[in-house]
Amino acid sequence: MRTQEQIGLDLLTDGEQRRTGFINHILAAFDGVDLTHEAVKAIYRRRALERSVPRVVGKIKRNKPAIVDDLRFAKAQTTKPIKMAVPGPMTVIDSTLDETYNDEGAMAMDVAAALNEELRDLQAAGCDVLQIDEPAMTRYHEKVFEYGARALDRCLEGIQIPSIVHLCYGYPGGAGQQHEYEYPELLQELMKTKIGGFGVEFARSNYDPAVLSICKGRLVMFGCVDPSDTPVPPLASVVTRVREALKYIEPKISCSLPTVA
Amino acid sequence: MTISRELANAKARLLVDAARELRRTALAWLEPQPR
Repeated sequence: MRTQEQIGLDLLTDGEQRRTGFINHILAAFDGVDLTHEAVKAIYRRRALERSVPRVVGKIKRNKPAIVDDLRFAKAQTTKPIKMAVPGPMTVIDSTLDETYNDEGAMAMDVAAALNEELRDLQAAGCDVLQIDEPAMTRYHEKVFEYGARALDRCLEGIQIPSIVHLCYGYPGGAGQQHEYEYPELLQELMKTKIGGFGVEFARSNYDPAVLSICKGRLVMFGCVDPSDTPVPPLASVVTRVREALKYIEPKISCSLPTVA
Repeated sequence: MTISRELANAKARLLVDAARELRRTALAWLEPQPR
């Protein structure tokens, strides 16, 4: 956190050093999830990868706060605003093996209710920005239409502070891009929800930022630097990329890190 | 994946430098000019 301050970032994270993975630190606070006896899942965000994932063995329900103490710790270290992140319902479903629901829509709504409790507690504890990580949304647009957008709204019930849904495509070193789907139809669908804004990836994807013109009245966290192990790009190229996007979004600039673990 | 602390910090500094440059130039360009 001190490094983030010294570098001059406007919106800090707690560093997320306590995270044991992308979702496990949140699932550890949920009933119905077995984090000890994992299972192999062959399809993972539409990559041909076998992953060892937690098993869903019962009805999902939050039994304790997951990262509220992490927020309190972070707030004690800085006067800068803090962003906290949780995985979204679709990403939880994609990153677990369901042995209970056999109905992704029903499971998504239970995960969303559990996440809503966590987000409400983070809001009450003084969090400045909430981020919901949903990389699964960029891979499964059909599921966003089916239940993902509805589950996102359920996560946000009672939330008044700024919220962002993080829609990256992943950035595995050297792996091929994963852009079977593109942003336009996804953003159009999510504009129907209560989400406060979008964290979107434009450096590695090299998409045309004109798609952002539909995001009127929402925050845009514009990904302008590839966070993988690629070399640091020239400053001028980043400035040019953002300047191009500013033709389509409200020009109010701050900087923060994406999800890091 | 993980990347080195040095590379992560260099990319974070790049974000800050880009924001500073944009505040200095692009925002002035985008703000309405007095008639």
